[in-house]
Amino acid sequence: MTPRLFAVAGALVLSAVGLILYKVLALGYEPWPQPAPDRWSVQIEIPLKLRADESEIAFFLPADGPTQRIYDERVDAAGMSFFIRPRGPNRIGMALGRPEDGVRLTYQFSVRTRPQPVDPLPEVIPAISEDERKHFSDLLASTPTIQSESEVVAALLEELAVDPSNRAAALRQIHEFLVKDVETTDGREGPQDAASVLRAERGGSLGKARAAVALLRAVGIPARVVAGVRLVDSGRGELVHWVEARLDGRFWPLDPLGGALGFLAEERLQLHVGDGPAVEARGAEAGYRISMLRERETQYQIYRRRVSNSDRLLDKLSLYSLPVQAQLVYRLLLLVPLGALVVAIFRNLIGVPTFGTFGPILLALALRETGILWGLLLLGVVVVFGWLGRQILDRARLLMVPRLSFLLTLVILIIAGVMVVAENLGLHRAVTTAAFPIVILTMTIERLAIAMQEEGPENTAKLVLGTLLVAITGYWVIANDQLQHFVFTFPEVHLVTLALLLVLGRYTGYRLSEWARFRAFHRDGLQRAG
Amino acid sequence: MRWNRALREAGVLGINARNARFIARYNPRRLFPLVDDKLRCKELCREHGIPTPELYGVVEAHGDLRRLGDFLAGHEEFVIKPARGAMGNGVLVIAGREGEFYRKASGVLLDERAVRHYVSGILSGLYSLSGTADRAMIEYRIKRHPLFEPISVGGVPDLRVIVFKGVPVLAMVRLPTRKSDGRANLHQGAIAAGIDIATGTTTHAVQSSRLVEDHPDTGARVIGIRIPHWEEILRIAALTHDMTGLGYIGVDVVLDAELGPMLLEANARPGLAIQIANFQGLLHPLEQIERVDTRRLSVEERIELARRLRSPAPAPVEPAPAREAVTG
Repeated sequence: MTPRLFAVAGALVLSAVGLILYKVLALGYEPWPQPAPDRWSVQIEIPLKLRADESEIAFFLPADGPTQRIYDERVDAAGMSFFIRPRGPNRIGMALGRPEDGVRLTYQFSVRTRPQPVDPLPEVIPAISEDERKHFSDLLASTPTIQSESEVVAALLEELAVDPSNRAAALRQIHEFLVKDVETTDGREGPQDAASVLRAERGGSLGKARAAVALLRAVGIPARVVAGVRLVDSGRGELVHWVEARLDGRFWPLDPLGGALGFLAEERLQLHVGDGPAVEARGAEAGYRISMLRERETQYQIYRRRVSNSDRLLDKLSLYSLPVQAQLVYRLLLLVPLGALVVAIFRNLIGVPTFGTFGPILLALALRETGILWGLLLLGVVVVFGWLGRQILDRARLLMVPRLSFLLTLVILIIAGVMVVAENLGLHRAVTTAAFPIVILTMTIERLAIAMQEEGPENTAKLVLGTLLVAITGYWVIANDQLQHFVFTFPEVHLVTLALLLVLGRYTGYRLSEWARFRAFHRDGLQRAG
Repeated sequence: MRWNRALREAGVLGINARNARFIARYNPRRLFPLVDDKLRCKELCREHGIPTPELYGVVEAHGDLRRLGDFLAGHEEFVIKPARGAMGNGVLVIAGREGEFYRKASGVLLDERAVRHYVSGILSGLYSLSGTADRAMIEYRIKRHPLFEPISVGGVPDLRVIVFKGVPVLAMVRLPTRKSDGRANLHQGAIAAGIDIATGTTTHAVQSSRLVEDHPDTGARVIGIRIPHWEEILRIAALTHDMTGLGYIGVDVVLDAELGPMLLEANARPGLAIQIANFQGLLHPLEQIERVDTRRLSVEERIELARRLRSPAPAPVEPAPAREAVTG
């Protein structure tokens, strides 16, 4: 190791550390990505089973409100005509036409939620006035599912001794009754109208909300059912219902399931107001699925916005100033040097044999696209079938270039076959596999076949395991989101990579594999055979 | 780490040190083709008077394949190999003819079409170092020296001498076994027997890094064998350095029963297993030689230097070997 090389490596490391520290301390860059807590990407899916020629599908679309903002709406109407109309306080999406059987409507959007300020409900709110009664007649009416004028409601109010002259106290009493005395079920055990739920003293989310609204309306508190979903990281959404009561000039949320009053205890997306079904269909049978994903991209968006407004040189020079498409490419490309570093470490420090120098890294990149399990499975299938094909091909005694081209064609056909099979089995991930490094696979099969003939199965197995080990380690580095963010935000970290490669390139010590190879020299001499 | 220090004290040369300290420094890249291309190497040998197996013919291109029969006419036995092959890959040994068939060393019969396909594989670069188009050479098949009869199975043993700056440093003989399928390939299970440079006698022998004393297939002792023509073998090895200009090489020499030692090929990236065969690290002798200016030394002086390096104890008294002139 020459001192000059050491000095160069040291200077590279120091400049990288200096730049990173400056960016973090002076410019306020975040070293690790911060997930955006309030941004979600949501998808509503409506699979259709046709019952007639003409279908009409209507479903609620979420609207902007005090707690949420909807943007980036995209719809795939499966070939039907689609339009958006207001209906009361809600928005509905209507799809008309003759779709094919089995298609699905999808509606995607992003939502940004805002926490509602938590205000205490006033202690005393007087009985309802005539003006109010006229103005909110819709929110006070008895309906077939919210029977506020039924006997069971009146009986319950009497039993609870609710006093309509202080509506704040009445609200608290009714809320407490529903939370504590009405058992919560999954809502499938019986009719979910207000009267039935109150009679049975048990009900699901919708039933309890209807029951609460019926009781509230009966004491002169304008109220309505609200439908929405919990925004949770598990991604699967289920409709939940809660109640909004109109008092003191605003709506107060009540959650008869969770027990919160005056606020919602969890992040929720409000889909529509009213106790009707989320989707109505004529001429077809419509399912309903809602799923969500927390958006993690926002850190990039925050940086991009900041960079585009900044005059500072380092901001302008950052990769965030590139067009988005180029950023996506560079986020991946900037991880490749780390993969190469992994290869250098495995080859020169550990002494793991591999097929080709950068073959394992290209495999790791491919695994990143496909996911590791599916990718390894695909890799195994392609290599095994390709190798079998190569064995048969060996008898035909082809010249090298036509033989390799034959093998390449075979590999592409095998991948195509696997994809078709996977698609029919419902494994949609397979489609992203198109970028699998076909040439690398072909050369790997060719080398594998030659190694089998020339070096025997034992050495070939070592090569295969070595290649897999390096590829999986490389994948583990390349697929790391935190690392990707770090390297993209601080590309100068690759000065450290260069320094490490310089030092590694002049490493003349032993490889770990030589511990085993030359064990006779550090144990008690050569061991006798047999 | 303890093992690390133990290896360093034993003077074991690792791959990284070999590449960075010796190959990168003493083997200029531009000289590699001299040894990687066996035809060029043979040509050089002729100029320098180093004996090599006789060349019967060269197949340059697929167009020449039709004339393959002409090249082979008149030769009962011969070897076909790629001019730029590595590690003995792609070598076809024909041990005789039966009617219109060629008999491989293993006894398998090949018709002319199969041989032609084999040569065509060589031409399209199947066995070449870089995978590019290659030439096929047809040459004399070495006759095994009677001394090696009891201690090799199948092919011909070859001698490997590591030569640094023209000074032979370590030597071994590779003995084919049944396990190595008759090939002198160590990682396939051939025996490597280390040779004392000073006396030309085998000292240790290993098979797959395990110490052996007898050949596993024949039962004959493989250590204590005196290699005939040892002086000549060392001369060929030392001269190969002068001929190629490469500072750190592995010289492969074969011993023909009738024609004596011949240069088979030289390797600019010689392997490290020779250290296990000799149970002796390369690093200390290499470092000693590194300090000597060997350019002014004659071949004899360099061999003498090698003897002194290898044998600190006085060598057993023996009659001075008759020095034969190298025939061109």
